[in-house]
Amino acid sequence: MMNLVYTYQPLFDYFLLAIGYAYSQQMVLRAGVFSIGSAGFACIGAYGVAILVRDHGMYPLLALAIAAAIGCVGGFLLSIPLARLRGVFQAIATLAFVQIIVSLALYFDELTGGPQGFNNIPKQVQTWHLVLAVVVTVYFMYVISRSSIGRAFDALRQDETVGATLGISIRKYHMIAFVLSGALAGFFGGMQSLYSYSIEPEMFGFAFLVAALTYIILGGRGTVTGPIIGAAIMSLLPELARPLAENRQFFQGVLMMVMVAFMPHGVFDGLVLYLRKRRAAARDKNFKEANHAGAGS
Amino acid sequence: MPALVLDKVSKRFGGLLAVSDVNMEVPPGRITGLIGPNGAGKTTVVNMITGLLKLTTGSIKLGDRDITTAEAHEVAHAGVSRTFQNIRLLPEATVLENVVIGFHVHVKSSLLAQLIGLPSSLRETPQLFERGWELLKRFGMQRFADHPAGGLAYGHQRRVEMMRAVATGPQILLLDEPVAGMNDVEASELGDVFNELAASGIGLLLIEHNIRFVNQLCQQVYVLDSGAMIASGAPKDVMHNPAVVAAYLGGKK
Repeated sequence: MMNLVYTYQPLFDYFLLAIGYAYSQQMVLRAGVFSIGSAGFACIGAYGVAILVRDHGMYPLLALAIAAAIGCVGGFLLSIPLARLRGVFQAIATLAFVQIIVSLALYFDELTGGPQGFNNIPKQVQTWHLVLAVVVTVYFMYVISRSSIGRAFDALRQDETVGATLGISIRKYHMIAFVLSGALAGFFGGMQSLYSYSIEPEMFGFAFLVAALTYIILGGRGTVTGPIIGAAIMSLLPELARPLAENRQFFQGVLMMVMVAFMPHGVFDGLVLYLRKRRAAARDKNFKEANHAGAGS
Repeated sequence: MPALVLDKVSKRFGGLLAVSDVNMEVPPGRITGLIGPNGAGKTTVVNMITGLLKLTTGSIKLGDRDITTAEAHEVAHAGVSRTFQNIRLLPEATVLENVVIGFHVHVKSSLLAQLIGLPSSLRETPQLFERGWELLKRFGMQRFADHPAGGLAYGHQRRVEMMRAVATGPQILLLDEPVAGMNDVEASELGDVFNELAASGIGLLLIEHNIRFVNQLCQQVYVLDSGAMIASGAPKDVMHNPAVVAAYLGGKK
Protein backbone atom coordinates (compact mmCIF):
# COMPACT_ATOMS: atom_id res chain seq x y z
CA MET A 1 0.00 0.00 0.00
CA MET A 2 2.67 2.49 1.02
CA ASN A 3 4.59 1.48 -2.09
CA LEU A 4 1.66 2.48 -4.21
CA VAL A 5 1.51 5.87 -2.53
CA TYR A 6 5.23 6.45 -3.03
CA THR A 7 4.99 5.40 -6.66
CA TYR A 8 2.17 7.74 -7.48
CA GLN A 9 2.94 10.68 -5.25
CA PRO A 10 5.15 12.47 -7.79
CA LEU A 11 2.46 11.92 -10.38
CA PHE A 12 -0.10 13.47 -8.06
CA ASP A 13 2.19 16.41 -7.31
CA TYR A 14 2.73 17.17 -10.99
CA PHE A 15 -1.00 16.85 -11.51
CA LEU A 16 -1.49 19.59 -8.90
CA LEU A 17 1.06 21.84 -10.58
CA ALA A 18 -0.63 21.16 -13.91
CA ILE A 19 -3.94 22.40 -12.48
CA GLY A 20 -2.32 25.71 -11.61
CA TYR A 21 -0.95 26.14 -15.13
CA ALA A 22 -4.24 25.00 -16.62
CA TYR A 23 -6.09 27.76 -14.76
CA SER A 24 -3.56 30.31 -15.93
CA GLN A 25 -4.21 29.21 -19.51
CA GLN A 26 -7.96 29.06 -19.03
CA MET A 27 -8.15 32.57 -17.62
CA VAL A 28 -7.04 34.20 -20.88
CA LEU A 29 -8.91 31.82 -23.19
CA ARG A 30 -12.08 32.42 -21.26
CA ALA A 31 -11.82 36.14 -21.93
CA GLY A 32 -11.32 35.48 -25.63
CA VAL A 33 -7.59 36.18 -25.55
CA PHE A 34 -5.60 33.58 -27.43
CA SER A 35 -2.48 34.03 -25.31
CA ILE A 36 -0.05 31.19 -24.74
CA GLY A 37 2.17 33.35 -22.56
CA SER A 38 1.60 31.34 -19.37
CA ALA A 39 4.83 29.40 -20.02
CA GLY A 40 6.79 32.66 -19.99
CA PHE A 41 5.29 33.80 -16.69
CA ALA A 42 5.84 30.35 -15.18
CA CYS A 43 9.48 30.59 -16.25
CA ILE A 44 9.87 34.04 -14.70
CA GLY A 45 8.21 32.87 -11.49
CA ALA A 46 10.27 29.70 -11.29
CA TYR A 47 13.63 31.41 -11.78
CA GLY A 48 12.65 34.37 -9.63
CA VAL A 49 11.75 32.18 -6.68
CA ALA A 50 14.76 29.89 -7.19
CA ILE A 51 17.17 32.82 -7.17
CA LEU A 52 15.51 34.58 -4.24
CA VAL A 53 15.32 31.48 -2.06
CA ARG A 54 18.60 29.72 -2.89
CA ASP A 55 20.93 32.68 -3.43
CA HIS A 56 19.35 35.26 -1.13
CA GLY A 57 17.83 33.00 1.50
CA MET A 58 14.45 34.63 1.19
CA TYR A 59 11.49 33.21 3.07
CA PRO A 60 9.71 30.95 0.52
CA LEU A 61 6.22 32.34 1.01
CA LEU A 62 7.46 35.88 0.44
CA ALA A 63 9.33 34.74 -2.67
CA LEU A 64 6.16 33.11 -4.00
CA ALA A 65 4.19 36.29 -3.35
CA ILE A 66 6.83 38.22 -5.27
CA ALA A 67 6.61 35.70 -8.13
CA ALA A 68 2.85 36.19 -8.31
CA ALA A 69 3.32 39.96 -8.22
CA ILE A 70 5.89 39.83 -11.02
CA GLY A 71 3.42 37.70 -13.00
CA CYS A 72 0.77 40.42 -12.46
CA VAL A 73 3.05 43.20 -13.61
CA GLY A 74 4.31 41.09 -16.53
CA GLY A 75 0.75 40.32 -17.61
CA PHE A 76 -0.16 43.98 -17.38
CA LEU A 77 2.86 45.04 -19.46
CA LEU A 78 2.29 42.32 -22.05
CA SER A 79 -1.36 43.28 -22.44
CA ILE A 80 -0.48 46.80 -23.60
CA PRO A 81 1.28 46.00 -26.90
CA LEU A 82 -1.07 43.08 -27.53
CA ALA A 83 -4.30 45.03 -27.05
CA ARG A 84 -4.80 45.45 -30.79
CA LEU A 85 -4.05 41.83 -31.70
CA ARG A 86 -6.57 39.02 -31.87
CA GLY A 87 -6.66 35.28 -32.39
CA VAL A 88 -3.70 33.72 -34.10
CA PHE A 89 -1.74 36.98 -34.02
CA GLN A 90 -2.02 37.04 -30.24
CA ALA A 91 -0.88 33.42 -30.14
CA ILE A 92 2.21 34.15 -32.23
CA ALA A 93 3.06 37.30 -30.28
CA THR A 94 2.79 35.50 -26.94
CA LEU A 95 4.79 32.58 -28.30
CA ALA A 96 7.51 35.08 -29.17
CA PHE A 97 7.29 36.39 -25.60
CA VAL A 98 7.82 32.86 -24.25
CA GLN A 99 10.85 32.40 -26.50
CA ILE A 100 12.33 35.68 -25.31
CA ILE A 101 11.95 34.65 -21.67
CA VAL A 102 13.34 31.15 -22.24
CA SER A 103 16.31 32.46 -24.18
CA LEU A 104 17.00 35.07 -21.47
CA ALA A 105 17.12 32.18 -19.00
CA LEU A 106 19.63 30.48 -21.28
CA TYR A 107 21.84 33.53 -21.89
CA PHE A 108 22.16 34.93 -18.38
CA ASP A 109 23.88 31.82 -17.16
CA GLU A 110 25.63 33.53 -14.24
CA LEU A 111 22.24 34.23 -12.74
CA THR A 112 20.24 31.28 -14.01
CA GLY A 113 22.78 28.53 -14.61
CA GLY A 114 22.03 28.67 -18.33
CA PRO A 115 21.44 25.40 -20.19
CA GLN A 116 22.79 23.35 -17.24
CA GLY A 117 19.78 24.48 -15.28
CA PHE A 118 19.42 25.95 -11.82
CA ASN A 119 20.19 23.30 -9.23
CA ASN A 120 20.17 22.69 -5.49
CA ILE A 121 17.00 24.63 -4.88
CA PRO A 122 15.91 23.87 -1.32
CA LYS A 123 12.86 21.64 -1.39
CA GLN A 124 10.39 23.70 0.54
CA VAL A 125 7.17 22.58 -1.08
CA GLN A 126 5.48 19.35 -0.06
CA THR A 127 2.38 17.73 -1.47
CA TRP A 128 0.13 19.36 1.09
CA HIS A 129 1.40 22.81 0.11
CA LEU A 130 0.43 22.08 -3.46
CA VAL A 131 -2.98 20.81 -2.38
CA LEU A 132 -3.50 23.97 -0.37
CA ALA A 133 -2.44 26.16 -3.28
CA VAL A 134 -4.81 24.36 -5.65
CA VAL A 135 -7.72 24.58 -3.21
CA VAL A 136 -7.22 28.32 -2.78
CA THR A 137 -6.90 28.75 -6.55
CA VAL A 138 -10.09 26.78 -7.17
CA TYR A 139 -11.88 29.03 -4.68
CA PHE A 140 -10.73 32.16 -6.51
CA MET A 141 -11.57 30.70 -9.90
CA TYR A 142 -15.04 29.81 -8.68
CA VAL A 143 -15.64 33.24 -7.19
CA ILE A 144 -14.42 35.00 -10.32
CA SER A 145 -16.45 32.80 -12.63
CA ARG A 146 -19.60 33.65 -10.66
CA SER A 147 -18.83 37.36 -10.63
CA SER A 148 -19.47 40.08 -13.11
CA ILE A 149 -15.85 39.72 -14.25
CA GLY A 150 -16.52 36.11 -15.26
CA ARG A 151 -19.64 37.10 -17.15
CA ALA A 152 -17.77 39.90 -18.90
CA PHE A 153 -15.08 37.39 -19.94
CA ASP A 154 -17.72 35.03 -21.32
CA ALA A 155 -19.36 37.85 -23.26
CA LEU A 156 -16.10 39.07 -24.79
CA ARG A 157 -15.14 35.54 -25.81
CA GLN A 158 -18.40 34.99 -27.64
CA ASP A 159 -18.81 38.41 -29.26
CA GLU A 160 -16.50 41.27 -28.48
CA THR A 161 -18.57 43.95 -30.23
CA VAL A 162 -21.70 42.98 -28.34
CA GLY A 163 -19.75 43.07 -25.10
CA ALA A 164 -18.54 46.58 -25.85
CA THR A 165 -22.02 47.88 -26.70
CA LEU A 166 -23.22 46.47 -23.36
CA GLY A 167 -20.64 48.57 -21.52
CA ILE A 168 -17.77 46.10 -21.16
CA SER A 169 -14.41 47.72 -21.78
CA ILE A 170 -12.52 45.28 -23.98
CA ARG A 171 -9.12 46.71 -23.12
CA LYS A 172 -9.77 46.67 -19.38
CA TYR A 173 -11.09 43.11 -19.18
CA HIS A 174 -8.44 41.69 -21.48
CA MET A 175 -5.90 43.35 -19.21
CA ILE A 176 -7.51 41.79 -16.14
CA ALA A 177 -7.31 38.38 -17.82
CA PHE A 178 -3.63 38.86 -18.63
CA VAL A 179 -2.85 40.03 -15.10
CA LEU A 180 -4.63 37.12 -13.40
CA SER A 181 -3.17 34.60 -15.81
CA GLY A 182 0.32 35.98 -15.22
CA ALA A 183 -0.11 35.89 -11.45
CA LEU A 184 -1.23 32.25 -11.48
CA ALA A 185 1.56 31.12 -13.80
CA GLY A 186 4.20 33.06 -11.84
CA PHE A 187 3.01 31.61 -8.55
CA PHE A 188 2.82 28.00 -9.71
CA GLY A 189 6.16 28.37 -11.51
CA GLY A 190 7.62 29.35 -8.15
CA MET A 191 5.93 26.39 -6.49
CA GLN A 192 7.46 24.10 -9.08
CA SER A 193 10.99 25.30 -8.45
CA LEU A 194 10.61 24.91 -4.67
CA TYR A 195 9.23 21.44 -5.29
CA SER A 196 11.60 19.96 -7.83
CA TYR A 197 15.18 20.78 -6.62
CA SER A 198 16.17 21.94 -10.09
CA ILE A 199 14.78 23.78 -13.07
CA GLU A 200 16.01 24.38 -16.59
CA PRO A 201 14.85 26.75 -19.32
CA GLU A 202 13.56 24.03 -21.64
CA MET A 203 10.97 23.00 -19.03
CA PHE A 204 9.09 26.16 -20.00
CA GLY A 205 9.43 25.80 -23.74
CA PHE A 206 7.10 24.58 -26.44
CA ALA A 207 6.16 21.31 -24.68
CA PHE A 208 4.99 23.31 -21.66
CA LEU A 209 2.65 25.59 -23.56
CA VAL A 210 1.24 22.74 -25.62
CA ALA A 211 0.52 20.87 -22.39
CA ALA A 212 -1.20 23.92 -20.86
CA LEU A 213 -3.41 24.29 -23.93
CA THR A 214 -4.15 20.57 -23.93
CA TYR A 215 -5.50 20.64 -20.37
CA ILE A 216 -8.08 23.19 -21.46
CA ILE A 217 -8.95 21.55 -24.78
CA LEU A 218 -9.49 18.22 -23.02
CA GLY A 219 -11.22 19.54 -19.91
CA GLY A 220 -13.09 22.62 -21.08
CA ARG A 221 -12.57 26.35 -21.09
CA GLY A 222 -15.78 27.63 -19.56
CA THR A 223 -16.01 25.82 -16.22
CA VAL A 224 -13.94 25.67 -13.05
CA THR A 225 -13.92 21.86 -13.07
CA GLY A 226 -12.78 21.57 -16.70
CA PRO A 227 -9.07 22.27 -16.17
CA ILE A 228 -8.91 19.78 -13.29
CA ILE A 229 -10.36 17.05 -15.51
CA GLY A 230 -8.02 18.02 -18.36
CA ALA A 231 -4.97 17.96 -16.09
CA ALA A 232 -6.08 14.61 -14.62
CA ILE A 233 -6.45 13.03 -18.06
CA MET A 234 -3.05 14.27 -19.15
CA SER A 235 -1.45 13.05 -15.92
CA LEU A 236 -3.06 9.63 -15.99
CA LEU A 237 -2.70 8.99 -19.69
CA PRO A 238 0.99 8.08 -19.63
CA GLU A 239 0.26 5.65 -16.78
CA LEU A 240 -2.70 4.04 -18.50
CA ALA A 241 -0.76 3.82 -21.73
CA ARG A 242 2.16 2.15 -19.97
CA PRO A 243 1.63 -1.25 -21.62
CA LEU A 244 1.92 0.55 -24.91
CA ALA A 245 5.16 2.07 -23.71
CA GLU A 246 6.85 2.52 -27.05
CA ASN A 247 3.80 3.79 -28.84
CA ARG A 248 2.64 6.01 -26.02
CA GLN A 249 3.07 9.26 -27.90
CA PHE A 250 1.20 7.82 -30.83
CA PHE A 251 -1.82 6.80 -28.78
CA GLN A 252 -1.79 10.04 -26.90
CA GLY A 253 -1.95 11.87 -30.21
CA VAL A 254 -4.76 9.71 -31.53
CA LEU A 255 -6.77 10.18 -28.36
CA MET A 256 -6.33 13.95 -28.62
CA MET A 257 -7.61 14.01 -32.17
CA VAL A 258 -10.61 11.87 -31.32
CA MET A 259 -11.48 14.08 -28.35
CA VAL A 260 -11.18 17.31 -30.26
CA ALA A 261 -13.27 15.91 -33.12
CA PHE A 262 -16.05 14.45 -31.00
CA MET A 263 -15.99 16.58 -27.85
CA PRO A 264 -14.98 20.03 -29.07
CA HIS A 265 -16.03 21.66 -25.79
CA GLY A 266 -13.86 19.30 -23.74
CA VAL A 267 -14.96 16.45 -21.51
CA PHE A 268 -16.44 18.43 -18.66
CA ASP A 269 -17.86 21.42 -20.55
CA GLY A 270 -19.34 18.99 -23.06
CA LEU A 271 -21.10 17.18 -20.23
CA VAL A 272 -22.40 20.44 -18.75
CA LEU A 273 -23.77 21.53 -22.13
CA TYR A 274 -25.47 18.19 -22.60
CA LEU A 275 -27.13 18.33 -19.17
CA ARG A 276 -28.15 21.91 -19.74
CA LYS A 277 -29.90 20.99 -23.00
CA ARG A 278 -31.76 18.21 -21.23
CA ARG A 279 -32.84 20.53 -18.46
CA ALA A 280 -34.01 23.13 -20.98
CA ALA A 281 -36.04 20.50 -22.82
CA ALA A 282 -37.61 19.36 -19.54
CA ARG A 283 -38.57 22.91 -18.59
CA ASP A 284 -40.03 23.43 -22.05
CA LYS A 285 -42.15 20.31 -21.66
CA ASN A 286 -43.40 21.42 -18.24
CA PHE A 287 -44.47 24.78 -19.63
CA LYS A 288 -46.31 23.16 -22.52
CA GLU A 289 -48.14 20.76 -20.20
CA ALA A 290 -49.03 23.57 -17.82
CA ASN A 291 -50.41 25.60 -20.73
CA HIS A 292 -52.45 22.67 -21.98
CA ALA A 293 -53.89 22.09 -18.52
CA GLY A 294 -54.73 25.79 -18.30
CA ALA A 295 -56.49 25.77 -21.67
CA GLY A 296 -58.44 22.61 -20.80
CA SER A 297 -59.94 23.84 -17.54
CA MET B 1 -34.46 61.88 -19.70
CA PRO B 2 -32.11 63.50 -22.22
CA ALA B 3 -32.44 63.63 -26.00
CA LEU B 4 -29.88 62.32 -28.43
CA VAL B 5 -28.77 65.00 -30.88
CA LEU B 6 -26.65 64.50 -33.98
CA ASP B 7 -25.13 67.67 -35.39
CA LYS B 8 -23.70 67.65 -38.94
CA VAL B 9 -22.38 64.12 -38.59
CA SER B 10 -20.30 62.82 -41.50
CA LYS B 11 -18.40 59.62 -42.14
CA ARG B 12 -15.88 59.08 -44.90
CA PHE B 13 -14.49 55.63 -45.75
CA GLY B 14 -11.45 56.48 -47.88
CA GLY B 15 -12.92 58.18 -50.94
CA LEU B 16 -16.51 57.24 -50.16
CA LEU B 17 -18.65 59.73 -48.27
CA ALA B 18 -20.97 57.24 -46.57
CA VAL B 19 -22.82 59.75 -44.40
CA SER B 20 -22.78 63.51 -44.95
CA ASP B 21 -23.94 66.31 -42.67
CA VAL B 22 -26.69 64.40 -40.91
CA ASN B 23 -28.71 66.32 -38.33
CA MET B 24 -31.11 64.33 -36.23
CA GLU B 25 -32.80 64.39 -32.84
CA VAL B 26 -34.13 61.45 -30.87
CA PRO B 27 -36.30 62.90 -28.09
CA PRO B 28 -37.14 60.96 -24.93
CA GLY B 29 -40.48 59.19 -24.62
CA ARG B 30 -41.07 58.90 -28.35
CA ILE B 31 -40.32 56.60 -31.25
CA THR B 32 -38.36 58.31 -33.98
CA GLY B 33 -38.04 56.61 -37.36
CA LEU B 34 -35.00 56.41 -39.61
CA ILE B 35 -35.74 54.98 -43.03
CA GLY B 36 -33.98 54.78 -46.34
CA PRO B 37 -33.14 52.33 -49.09
CA ASN B 38 -30.40 49.72 -48.78
CA GLY B 39 -26.96 51.25 -48.52
CA ALA B 40 -28.32 54.64 -47.46
CA GLY B 41 -26.03 54.70 -44.41
CA LYS B 42 -28.53 53.93 -41.65
CA THR B 43 -26.44 51.31 -39.89
CA THR B 44 -23.35 53.51 -40.28
CA VAL B 45 -25.21 56.22 -38.35
CA VAL B 46 -26.06 53.74 -35.58
CA ASN B 47 -22.46 52.50 -35.45
CA MET B 48 -21.23 56.06 -35.08
CA ILE B 49 -23.67 56.83 -32.28
CA THR B 50 -22.67 53.68 -30.38
CA GLY B 51 -18.96 54.38 -30.70
CA LEU B 52 -18.16 51.44 -32.98
CA LEU B 53 -17.17 53.84 -35.77
CA LYS B 54 -15.36 57.13 -35.38
CA LEU B 55 -16.96 60.23 -36.87
CA THR B 56 -15.12 62.07 -39.61
CA THR B 57 -16.77 65.37 -38.65
CA GLY B 58 -19.72 66.53 -36.58
CA SER B 59 -20.79 65.90 -33.01
CA ILE B 60 -23.16 63.70 -31.06
CA LYS B 61 -24.66 64.74 -27.74
CA LEU B 62 -26.74 62.92 -25.19
CA GLY B 63 -28.41 65.71 -23.23
CA ASP B 64 -25.53 67.94 -22.15
CA ARG B 65 -22.98 65.19 -22.51
CA ASP B 66 -20.78 65.07 -25.61
CA ILE B 67 -20.34 61.44 -26.69
CA THR B 68 -18.78 62.20 -30.08
CA THR B 69 -15.47 60.53 -29.32
CA ALA B 70 -16.63 58.16 -26.57
CA GLU B 71 -15.73 54.49 -26.97
CA ALA B 72 -18.43 51.85 -27.31
CA HIS B 73 -18.45 50.85 -23.62
CA GLU B 74 -18.53 54.50 -22.54
CA VAL B 75 -21.52 55.18 -24.78
CA ALA B 76 -23.27 52.20 -23.16
CA HIS B 77 -22.53 53.59 -19.68
CA ALA B 78 -23.88 56.97 -20.81
CA GLY B 79 -27.22 55.25 -21.45
CA VAL B 80 -27.37 54.34 -25.13
CA SER B 81 -28.22 50.76 -26.02
CA ARG B 82 -28.88 49.02 -29.31
CA THR B 83 -29.91 45.90 -31.14
CA PHE B 84 -28.21 44.61 -34.27
CA GLN B 85 -29.54 44.22 -37.79
CA ASN B 86 -28.15 40.69 -37.94
CA ILE B 87 -29.04 39.46 -34.45
CA ARG B 88 -26.00 39.13 -32.24
CA LEU B 89 -26.51 37.03 -29.14
CA LEU B 90 -23.96 35.18 -27.06
CA PRO B 91 -24.65 31.82 -28.72
CA GLU B 92 -23.20 29.51 -26.03
CA ALA B 93 -24.87 31.32 -23.14
CA THR B 94 -28.44 30.62 -22.10
CA VAL B 95 -31.26 33.06 -22.71
CA LEU B 96 -31.20 34.09 -19.05
CA GLU B 97 -27.42 34.64 -19.11
CA ASN B 98 -27.78 36.70 -22.27
CA VAL B 99 -30.20 38.98 -20.46
CA VAL B 100 -28.12 39.15 -17.29
CA ILE B 101 -25.03 40.33 -19.17
CA GLY B 102 -27.16 43.35 -20.10
CA PHE B 103 -27.01 44.43 -16.45
CA HIS B 104 -23.25 44.88 -16.69
CA VAL B 105 -23.50 48.69 -16.57
CA HIS B 106 -25.41 48.44 -13.29
CA VAL B 107 -22.95 46.21 -11.45
CA LYS B 108 -22.11 47.86 -8.15
CA SER B 109 -19.55 45.62 -6.48
CA SER B 110 -15.94 46.66 -7.05
CA LEU B 111 -13.42 44.66 -9.05
CA LEU B 112 -11.59 43.72 -5.86
CA ALA B 113 -14.79 42.53 -4.21
CA GLN B 114 -15.45 40.36 -7.25
CA LEU B 115 -11.91 38.97 -7.36
CA ILE B 116 -11.72 37.87 -3.75
CA GLY B 117 -15.39 37.02 -3.37
CA LEU B 118 -16.59 39.60 -0.86
CA PRO B 119 -20.23 39.24 0.17
CA SER B 120 -21.23 42.32 -1.84
CA SER B 121 -20.24 40.54 -5.03
CA LEU B 122 -21.55 37.10 -4.02
CA ARG B 123 -24.94 38.61 -3.20
CA GLU B 124 -25.12 40.63 -6.37
CA THR B 125 -25.03 37.70 -8.80
CA PRO B 126 -28.26 36.03 -7.64
CA GLN B 127 -29.92 39.46 -7.50
CA LEU B 128 -29.04 40.11 -11.13
CA PHE B 129 -30.37 36.71 -12.15
CA GLU B 130 -33.56 37.50 -10.24
CA ARG B 131 -33.94 40.73 -12.20
CA GLY B 132 -33.18 38.85 -15.42
CA TRP B 133 -35.96 36.43 -14.58
CA GLU B 134 -38.38 39.34 -14.06
CA LEU B 135 -37.51 40.62 -17.50
CA LEU B 136 -38.12 37.18 -19.03
CA LYS B 137 -41.57 37.21 -17.44
CA ARG B 138 -42.31 40.65 -18.84
CA PHE B 139 -41.46 39.44 -22.35
CA GLY B 140 -43.13 36.03 -21.86
CA MET B 141 -39.90 34.13 -22.38
CA GLN B 142 -39.54 32.13 -19.12
CA ARG B 143 -39.83 28.76 -20.84
CA PHE B 144 -36.67 29.50 -22.83
CA ALA B 145 -34.61 30.60 -19.81
CA ASP B 146 -32.21 27.65 -19.93
CA HIS B 147 -32.00 27.32 -23.70
CA PRO B 148 -28.71 28.14 -25.40
CA ALA B 149 -29.59 31.40 -27.14
CA GLY B 150 -27.98 30.33 -30.41
CA GLY B 151 -30.54 27.53 -30.84
CA LEU B 152 -33.71 29.61 -30.59
CA ALA B 153 -36.10 30.45 -33.42
CA TYR B 154 -35.49 33.76 -35.18
CA GLY B 155 -38.34 35.72 -33.62
CA HIS B 156 -37.37 34.55 -30.13
CA GLN B 157 -33.75 35.55 -30.72
CA ARG B 158 -35.00 39.03 -31.59
CA ARG B 159 -36.83 39.15 -28.29
CA VAL B 160 -33.76 38.04 -26.36
CA GLU B 161 -31.74 40.79 -27.99
CA MET B 162 -34.44 43.28 -27.08
CA MET B 163 -34.52 42.12 -23.46
CA ARG B 164 -30.76 42.43 -23.26
CA ALA B 165 -30.92 45.99 -24.57
CA VAL B 166 -33.69 46.85 -22.10
CA ALA B 167 -31.68 45.30 -19.26
CA THR B 168 -29.02 47.98 -19.70
CA GLY B 169 -31.69 50.47 -18.58
CA PRO B 170 -31.11 52.75 -21.55
CA GLN B 171 -32.19 56.35 -22.00
CA ILE B 172 -31.87 55.95 -25.76
CA LEU B 173 -32.53 52.66 -27.52
CA LEU B 174 -31.43 52.16 -31.12
CA LEU B 175 -33.31 49.40 -32.93
CA ASP B 176 -31.65 48.33 -36.16
CA GLU B 177 -34.38 46.69 -38.29
CA PRO B 178 -36.00 44.93 -35.32
CA VAL B 179 -38.91 43.38 -37.25
CA ALA B 180 -37.00 42.28 -40.35
CA GLY B 181 -38.19 38.83 -41.35
CA MET B 182 -41.24 38.89 -39.07
CA ASN B 183 -44.85 38.61 -40.13
CA ASP B 184 -47.37 41.38 -39.36
CA VAL B 185 -48.68 39.74 -36.20
CA GLU B 186 -45.22 39.31 -34.71
CA ALA B 187 -44.28 42.82 -35.79
CA SER B 188 -47.31 44.39 -34.17
CA GLU B 189 -46.64 42.48 -30.94
CA LEU B 190 -43.17 43.95 -30.91
CA GLY B 191 -44.66 47.35 -31.80
CA ASP B 192 -46.66 47.19 -28.56
CA VAL B 193 -43.44 46.55 -26.67
CA PHE B 194 -41.84 49.61 -28.31
CA ASN B 195 -44.81 51.80 -27.37
CA GLU B 196 -44.53 50.61 -23.76
CA LEU B 197 -40.83 51.41 -23.70
CA ALA B 198 -41.46 54.88 -25.12
CA ALA B 199 -44.21 55.44 -22.56
CA SER B 200 -41.67 54.69 -19.81
CA GLY B 201 -39.61 57.65 -21.04
CA ILE B 202 -37.01 55.98 -23.23
CA GLY B 203 -36.20 57.60 -26.57
CA LEU B 204 -36.33 55.02 -29.36
CA LEU B 205 -34.74 55.26 -32.76
CA LEU B 206 -36.37 52.80 -35.11
CA ILE B 207 -34.43 51.92 -38.23
CA GLU B 208 -36.76 50.11 -40.61
CA HIS B 209 -37.60 49.11 -44.12
CA ASN B 210 -41.20 48.34 -43.30
CA ILE B 211 -42.78 51.75 -44.01
CA ARG B 212 -46.20 50.72 -42.75
CA PHE B 213 -44.70 49.70 -39.43
CA VAL B 214 -42.87 53.01 -39.15
CA ASN B 215 -46.03 54.94 -39.99
CA GLN B 216 -47.91 53.20 -37.20
CA LEU B 217 -45.34 53.88 -34.50
CA CYS B 218 -43.47 57.09 -35.23
CA GLN B 219 -44.40 60.73 -34.86
CA GLN B 220 -41.23 61.87 -36.52
CA VAL B 221 -39.40 60.22 -39.42
CA TYR B 222 -36.02 60.90 -41.00
CA VAL B 223 -35.22 59.69 -44.50
CA LEU B 224 -31.66 58.93 -45.48
CA ASP B 225 -30.54 58.33 -49.06
CA SER B 226 -26.96 57.85 -50.22
CA GLY B 227 -25.73 59.19 -46.91
CA ALA B 228 -27.70 62.44 -47.04
CA MET B 229 -30.84 63.37 -45.11
CA ILE B 230 -33.39 64.04 -47.84
CA ALA B 231 -36.52 64.56 -45.75
CA SER B 232 -37.84 64.68 -42.21
CA GLY B 233 -41.16 65.31 -40.54
CA ALA B 234 -44.44 63.58 -39.78
CA PRO B 235 -44.71 60.19 -41.52
CA LYS B 236 -47.63 61.05 -43.79
CA ASP B 237 -45.95 64.24 -45.03
CA VAL B 238 -42.63 62.51 -45.59
CA MET B 239 -44.16 59.65 -47.58
CA HIS B 240 -45.54 62.06 -50.15
CA ASN B 241 -42.32 63.97 -50.49
CA PRO B 242 -41.20 63.57 -54.14
CA ALA B 243 -37.56 63.04 -53.13
CA VAL B 244 -38.55 60.14 -50.85
CA VAL B 245 -40.73 58.56 -53.50
CA ALA B 246 -37.86 58.87 -55.98
CA ALA B 247 -35.38 57.33 -53.53
CA TYR B 248 -37.56 54.28 -52.96
CA LEU B 249 -39.19 53.76 -56.32
CA GLY B 250 -36.76 55.51 -58.62
CA GLY B 251 -37.57 58.61 -60.64
CA LYS B 252 -36.22 61.44 -62.66
CA LYS B 253 -33.23 63.08 -61.05
